[in-house]
Amino acid sequence: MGLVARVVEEIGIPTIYLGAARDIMLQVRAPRAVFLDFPLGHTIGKPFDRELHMSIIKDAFNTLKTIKEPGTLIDLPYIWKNKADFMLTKGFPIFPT
Amino acid sequence: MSPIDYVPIMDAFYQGQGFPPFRWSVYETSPWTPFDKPLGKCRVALHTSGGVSRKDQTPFDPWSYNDLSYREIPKDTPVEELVINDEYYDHTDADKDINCVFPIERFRELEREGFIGEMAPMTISGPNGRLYKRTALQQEVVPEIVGKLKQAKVDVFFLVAA
Repeated sequence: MGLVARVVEEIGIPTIYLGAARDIMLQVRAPRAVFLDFPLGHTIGKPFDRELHMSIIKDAFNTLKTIKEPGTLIDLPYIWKNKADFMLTKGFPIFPT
Repeated sequence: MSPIDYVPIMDAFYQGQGFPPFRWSVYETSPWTPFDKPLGKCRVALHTSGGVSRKDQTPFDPWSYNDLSYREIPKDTPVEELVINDEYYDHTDADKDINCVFPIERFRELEREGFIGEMAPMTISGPNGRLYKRTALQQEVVPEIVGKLKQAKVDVFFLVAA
């Protein structure tokens, strides 16, 4: 939904675009993009992990202050431990690179 | 492991489903609205593209494409009244805890603790993915959403891609 973020920002409201598909986020070049390397469907983290959710969301909000250049993508430092989870994404025959 | 490249995967997946080749949006530059207000004084609107709707609303078509519709979900909606309809990503975990893709409870907590000023009265769900009608999205649907956000005096729009 980088396209949505672009139009919203063109019309005049600052955006934060948090997502888990880095290549798509890079090419659409949303004004302020925040990448989390978690499986799709977990953009805020694991279920019921309130502390993790809050940490990710606050990190994303903080980019409002740290991003100075339009079209910047910030990589969040969180690591999803079980790489096999990326392959369980329903419908997608995901092969880790 | 480096991040997964989703473009070739989605191209193969969508075309395997009979969709025409997807024309990805590729830009070299980006629009920009400066942000200079303390977050603790900001009104924030939450957005998701995860197929979330309230049980009393028309659900999203789980196999939708070119669906330019969106749902307005009041900020105080209990999570028990929310449902996900989207067959394009695995929402098994989000079905248990919708905050995984639509952190409405976390945003209410951020409001209570004063990290943000307040949530906008409504959150926005959709439009979702697989949109080939890009012009209509950019020139009609999103400006309509932005009109509502501006009317609600929203300072920040927080988008969560599922």
